Amino acid sequence: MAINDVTHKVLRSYCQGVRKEVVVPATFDQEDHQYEEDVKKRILSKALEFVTKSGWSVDSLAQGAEAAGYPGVSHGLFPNGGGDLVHYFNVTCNEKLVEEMKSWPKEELKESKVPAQQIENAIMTRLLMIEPYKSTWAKAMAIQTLPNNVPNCLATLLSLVDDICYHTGDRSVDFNWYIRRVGLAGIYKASELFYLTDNSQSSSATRSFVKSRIRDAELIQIALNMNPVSVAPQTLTAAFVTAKNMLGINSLK
Amino acid sequence: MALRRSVLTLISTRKTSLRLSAIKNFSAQSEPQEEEKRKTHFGFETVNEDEKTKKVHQVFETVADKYDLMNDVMSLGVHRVWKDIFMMRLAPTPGTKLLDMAGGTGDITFRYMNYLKNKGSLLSADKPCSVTVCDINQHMLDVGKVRAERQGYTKDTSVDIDWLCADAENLPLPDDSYSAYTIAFGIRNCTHIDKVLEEAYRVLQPGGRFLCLEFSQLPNSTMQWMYDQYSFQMIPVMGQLIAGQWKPYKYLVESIRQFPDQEKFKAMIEEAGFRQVTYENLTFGVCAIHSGFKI
Repeated sequence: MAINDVTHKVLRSYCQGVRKEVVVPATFDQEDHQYEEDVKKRILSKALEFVTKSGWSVDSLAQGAEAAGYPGVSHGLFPNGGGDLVHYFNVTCNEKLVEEMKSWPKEELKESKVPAQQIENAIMTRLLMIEPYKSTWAKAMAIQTLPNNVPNCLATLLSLVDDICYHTGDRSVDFNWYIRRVGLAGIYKASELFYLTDNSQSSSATRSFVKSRIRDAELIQIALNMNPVSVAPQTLTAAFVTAKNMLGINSLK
Repeated sequence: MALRRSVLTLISTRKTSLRLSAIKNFSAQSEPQEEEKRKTHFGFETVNEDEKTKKVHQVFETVADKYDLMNDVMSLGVHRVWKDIFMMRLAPTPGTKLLDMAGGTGDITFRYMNYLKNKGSLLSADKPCSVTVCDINQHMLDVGKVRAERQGYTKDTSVDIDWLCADAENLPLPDDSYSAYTIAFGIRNCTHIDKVLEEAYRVLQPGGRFLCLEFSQLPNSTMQWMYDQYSFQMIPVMGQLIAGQWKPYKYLVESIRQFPDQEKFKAMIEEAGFRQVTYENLTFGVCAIHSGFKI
């Protein structure tokens, strides 16, 4: 027992010793990194003010840098140019959305029920954050599809749908986890496209579009959740009818 | 238990003594290094530091007239593309104050002026751009001045040009006075690269960008071998045939081999205080653009 105790202590002090040596430069690096990130964020947040005039471009970044007290050539801090600016905007919007969702009342969640209203609200809140930049957002979406911006774009989209799923109560650990996220990402991107050309009052058309897409998703989920054995007759009948149609021997003809 | 403890103490004391001796060794090693420091390399030769400065000066005095022609011949014209990419990376904006170090013949300066001219509408009178062409060698500056006049850059009033003959290791310029510092194919010829970098850091204003275009090492050893064959077998011969000079071009290829590789040079730039240091290889790593920011 006593011997065990001693070895324990030795081990612990050994580990601590090692960690101390490693941690000191690591925190220093971290501080450095944090400082650089802060400078970048300051430039980016200033650059957003110029987006409506100069678009999601290097020019906006240069003007933002000047507004933050740096020379225009500091735009070189963002090698992807406009892509980095769009990425920053997406990330800040996602963070804002999470903050808002945290304050929403938690609905009691039942197994099979989709919290449609909450998801709809989340998507709409996020879409309306684009409002100030709506005129230039089509360009931003195009920029996001450029090969070197695709990884960032997908990452922000995933974190967005992940946050929405989590905060609307999804705690699944099965295959549904993937289905929900991919489905929601599809709905979000489709709504984003719809929103671009939506001129209706207070974006009511977008809201109804989102609503119907969520309903579609619910239907699909119901279909997926059906017990394959119990729906076998229906499936078989459908298959036969299709086959008959293809062969041109449909009895209803 | 007591036994174990004593063993442990023994181990720990031995460790410290080992460490102590290691330190002693290290300090003993570093002494002769300091003596050697006054020597430096000139190509593959080892020479005194002040001798290198003189020799480099001679090299550029002799090659100044044929400099541009030889660049075209040796790189098959690709050096123009490298310099174009270099200027695209800088992407100067209205109000940029550029220090074009080692820019004697004006290759970078003219590209800078063209870039700004092509931006056109964004140039406004309240944000004037300027460039200071700085070179240690008056002969190179003279070549640049003639070229500037012949190509009509001196009449272009939207960008101010200054010509300055000064040493990159000791610039007669105030602190925080430039927003960009470029050095293309120049830093290799400087005797103290660390001093050059420190001076660059000093004259740049906060947020200013350091950009360096320089020959580097190819990460692929087969490509490096082919490149070596070309450099050592062909380039001095071409120098002899076209410019009538063998030695300067032998020095050129040797000095490229002596220059630190991408990662080492990146570490040196970081050492000088620059942040967000990155590099980009051009033509498989024959050249590299290093970039850093004073933030």
